[in-house]
Amino acid sequence: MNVSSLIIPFILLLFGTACLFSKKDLNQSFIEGAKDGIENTVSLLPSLILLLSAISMFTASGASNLIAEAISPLFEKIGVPGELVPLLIVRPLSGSSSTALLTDLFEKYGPDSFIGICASVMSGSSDTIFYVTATYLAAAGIKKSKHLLPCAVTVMLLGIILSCLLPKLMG
Amino acid sequence: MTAKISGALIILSVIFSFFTGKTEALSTAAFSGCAKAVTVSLSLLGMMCLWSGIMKVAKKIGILKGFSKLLSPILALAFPKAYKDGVAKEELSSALAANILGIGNAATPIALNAISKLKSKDGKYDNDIITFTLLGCAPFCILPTTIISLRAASGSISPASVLPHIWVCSLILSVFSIALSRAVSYAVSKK
Repeated sequence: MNVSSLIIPFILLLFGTACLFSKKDLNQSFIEGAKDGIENTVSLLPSLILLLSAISMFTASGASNLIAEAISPLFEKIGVPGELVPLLIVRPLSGSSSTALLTDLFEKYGPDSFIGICASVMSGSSDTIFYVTATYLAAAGIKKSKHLLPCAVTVMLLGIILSCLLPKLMG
Repeated sequence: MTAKISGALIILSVIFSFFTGKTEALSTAAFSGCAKAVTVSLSLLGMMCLWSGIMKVAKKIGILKGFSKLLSPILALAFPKAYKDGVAKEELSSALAANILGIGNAATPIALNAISKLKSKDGKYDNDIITFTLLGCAPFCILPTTIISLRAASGSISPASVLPHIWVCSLILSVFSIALSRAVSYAVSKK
């Protein structure tokens, strides 16, 4: 049992207690909030479905393997083991695929190997940037955000380099 | 933006499928992909409904004020315009807190909630939304339970040994994200 797994039950407990014992009518607040939530989500669903379908197609086409082979040498030069390249292609695309890949890497190279540790740090400090970017932007309705994706990719690249550098520096 | 990303992904998928010979798999994915996407979307809808409601209740009973006081300095640094105008302070601090505490799935509705409060017709807080999105791409999390559990399950001698590395890495990335976003929006506004 650790802190993270207790937080959600704690929040739910707070919520339940508040609803039951508060003098204010929280039913109305909940409904207002939930309605807002639904409206926000419905407007972003079409974009979300498009993006997730595209990601599905990308994975099915085997593109990530080919791209991995092509760019591995580049990454090896900056200290990123070639075995990690499939992970860093998939990480920004899909959380479940990257978890599967991470497990795979652990099985092949062991979680305490250099590769295993770098992969862990990479997974822990980054997220599915395409999904996050698309969702947040669609929710915000921003049209002119040309610099967001290059920025996100820059942050991701920095994260990849750091993931392989920090274990060497910090031990 | 989504159309551009999706369009690029689709083009790449088709071209590569010719090379890998997986054109059939690609066509299947074109149809099964959107079916899967609907499942994800429906789950998101449910989560948004529940957690947006919970957040509104939390706001009403005043719990969120504590969070926003605690995270004030970070809010001021990362989201200068929204902080100055006092907009969405509670929503933003809840979103940051959700990421730090590592409640993963529930963090998305809270984040979308914050964004809905920041969006406006004249795009006043767009730069802050962009910073927020960048922060969402490299979230600072105290306890990434998924990774630690995976490591433990794969037989790691010390699953939590990567924690310091993850902390340092995501901290550097978060600071970098804020700095990068503010630098770029400054540069863009100067044109």
